Amino acid sequence: MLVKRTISMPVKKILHNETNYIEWNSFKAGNWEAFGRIYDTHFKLLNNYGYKFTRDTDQIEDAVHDLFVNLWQKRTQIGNPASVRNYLYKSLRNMLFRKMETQQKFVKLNAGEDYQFHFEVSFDTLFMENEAKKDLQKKLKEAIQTLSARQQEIIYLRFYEGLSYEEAADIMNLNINSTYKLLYKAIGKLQKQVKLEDLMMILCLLASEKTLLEIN
Amino acid sequence: MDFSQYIHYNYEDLLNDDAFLHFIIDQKASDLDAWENFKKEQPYRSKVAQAAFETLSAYRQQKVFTNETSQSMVFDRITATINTTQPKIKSFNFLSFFRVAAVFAVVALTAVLYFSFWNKKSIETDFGHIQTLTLPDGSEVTLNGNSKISYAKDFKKGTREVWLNGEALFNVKHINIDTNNIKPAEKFMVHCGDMNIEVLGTTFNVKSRHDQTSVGLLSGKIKIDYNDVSETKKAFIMAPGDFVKYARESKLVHQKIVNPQHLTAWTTRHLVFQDASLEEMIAVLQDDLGYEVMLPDDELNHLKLEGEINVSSVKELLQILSNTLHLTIKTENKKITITK
Repeated sequence: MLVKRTISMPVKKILHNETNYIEWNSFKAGNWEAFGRIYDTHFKLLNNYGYKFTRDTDQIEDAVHDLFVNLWQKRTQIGNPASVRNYLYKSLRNMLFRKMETQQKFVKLNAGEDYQFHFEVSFDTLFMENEAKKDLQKKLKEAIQTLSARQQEIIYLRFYEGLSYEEAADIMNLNINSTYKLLYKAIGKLQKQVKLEDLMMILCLLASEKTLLEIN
Repeated sequence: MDFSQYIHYNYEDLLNDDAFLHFIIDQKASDLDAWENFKKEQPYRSKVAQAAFETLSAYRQQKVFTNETSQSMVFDRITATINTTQPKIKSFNFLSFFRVAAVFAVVALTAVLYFSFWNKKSIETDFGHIQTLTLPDGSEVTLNGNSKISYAKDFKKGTREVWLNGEALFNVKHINIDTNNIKPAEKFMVHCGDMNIEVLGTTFNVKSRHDQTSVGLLSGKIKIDYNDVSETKKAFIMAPGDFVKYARESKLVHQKIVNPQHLTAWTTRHLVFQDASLEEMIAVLQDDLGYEVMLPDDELNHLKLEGEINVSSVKELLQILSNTLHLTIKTENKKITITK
C-alpha cells in the first residue's frame, strides 16, 4: 500500500442513519441536496467496507465516484430498495470487483484464473481493556485468518454490520442456502479454533480480575 | 430483554440469534442492565452466553477507515463528472445560463490569474533539489526539495511578503535599526498554510507540509499569527531557540530547539533524525526527495529508532534502518518497499 496519504483509522464507530423513503424519492425526483445528503450519510460506511477488499484508497474513491455518478444518471430507473445502505454496499462491491478485475487482467497476473478475492478486517488491539480480552482477540484473529475470504466477508456482514442472512446473501450475490452453509462452516471453524475451554479460561480470568478489583 | 431464554442455548445457537446479536450491536442501556443482572443471578448457566458475548465484542473491536479527508473532494469530482455529461438533458434556458456563467468564470479566472501570477514571481524546486536564492531586498532563502516560494514583483514596496509551501531556511535582512518601533514598510511576512510569520530581521526555518507548519528560530525575533482550536486569532512572539509546531486549528506546540544543526541539516543534504518513528522518516523521503515508499504493514509506521541518525545519503539511511529495525528494504529507482 502507498503511504502517500496518512491513513488514520480511528476506533470510533461510524454513525449510520438509514435513508428514509422521503429522502430517497426526493433524490429520484432530481433533488440535488437530497443526493448530497445520501452521499454524506454513506461515504464513510462505503469507504470502510471497500477498505476490507483493497488497501488502494484511490481505487475505493474511484469506485465511490462511479457509483454515485451512476446513481444520479440512472435515478429515474431505480426502484425503492429495502435498505439504501445495502443497495449501495452491493453496488460498491460490484464496482470494486470490476475495477480490480480489469486491473489484474491488465497486469496479466493469474491470467485465466478468477480474480483474487481478498477480504480483511483490521482489529483494534490498542484499546482492549485488559490482557485477557487482548488474548481472546488474538485467538479470534488467528481463527479468522484461517477462513476463506468469502467466509470472512459473511462474518463481517453478519457480526459487524448486523445484517440478516437474506441481506448478506443479496449483497454477496449468493442464494440463501449457500449463505447459511457458508456462515455455518465459518462459525464451526471458529468454534474449533477458539475452543470453548479457552473462552471459559478467559472468562475466569475476567471474573478473577473483577473480584480483585472488588477486593481492592 | 429477557436473557434467561438463553440458558439452554449452545455457543453456536447464540451466534446465530438475531436478538442476541443486536443486543451487542445496539448496546441499549436497559439491555445492558438486564445483562448484568442475568450474569449475577445465573453465574454458571450464563457462562456460554458470556463466551458468545465476549467473542462478538472482541470481533467488533475493529479499526475503521472513514477516508473523511477525501469526502468533499470525491463529491466535487462526482459533481464535475455529472455536469460534464449532463447538458443534453437540460433545457435551453439552462444552457444559456451556463454560457453566461462561463463568461463570468473566464473573466474572474483572468483576474485571479493576473493578481496571483502576473504580479507574482515564484520559484519551485524539484524533489531532492535544494536552491538558495536572494530576494530583491537582499534576504536569503534556501528552499528544500519539493518546495515553492512566491513573492510580489514589486517586493521592495511596502511590506515584504512571501508565500511558502514546503520547507525553507530564511535569513532576512534587517531594514530597520530600532526593533521596538517597526514601520509597515520594514516588515517581512511569511504566509504558509494557516499561519503568518512576521519577521523582525532574523534566521529561521519554516516547514509547511500536509496542513502542518513548524517554525524554528535561530536568531532574531519573529511574531506568528495563527487560528487556534477555538478559531480565535492568536499571536506568539518567538525568541531564539524556540521551536513551534502547529496544525490547522489546533493548539500551538511550543518546544526548545535542542540541537540547532538538526534544524538546518537539510541545507547541506544531510538526513538528521532524533528518536524518530519510521513514519516521520518516510515523510521526509516522500515530501523532500520524491521517493515512493510502499509499506504493506501499517504497524511498521510506529517503529521508532532511539537516538540520533545523521547521514548524508538515502542509501546510508536505509542501511541503518534495515540493520537496526531488522527490516527488508528493496529499492528500485525511486520506489522503496519496506517489509518485516
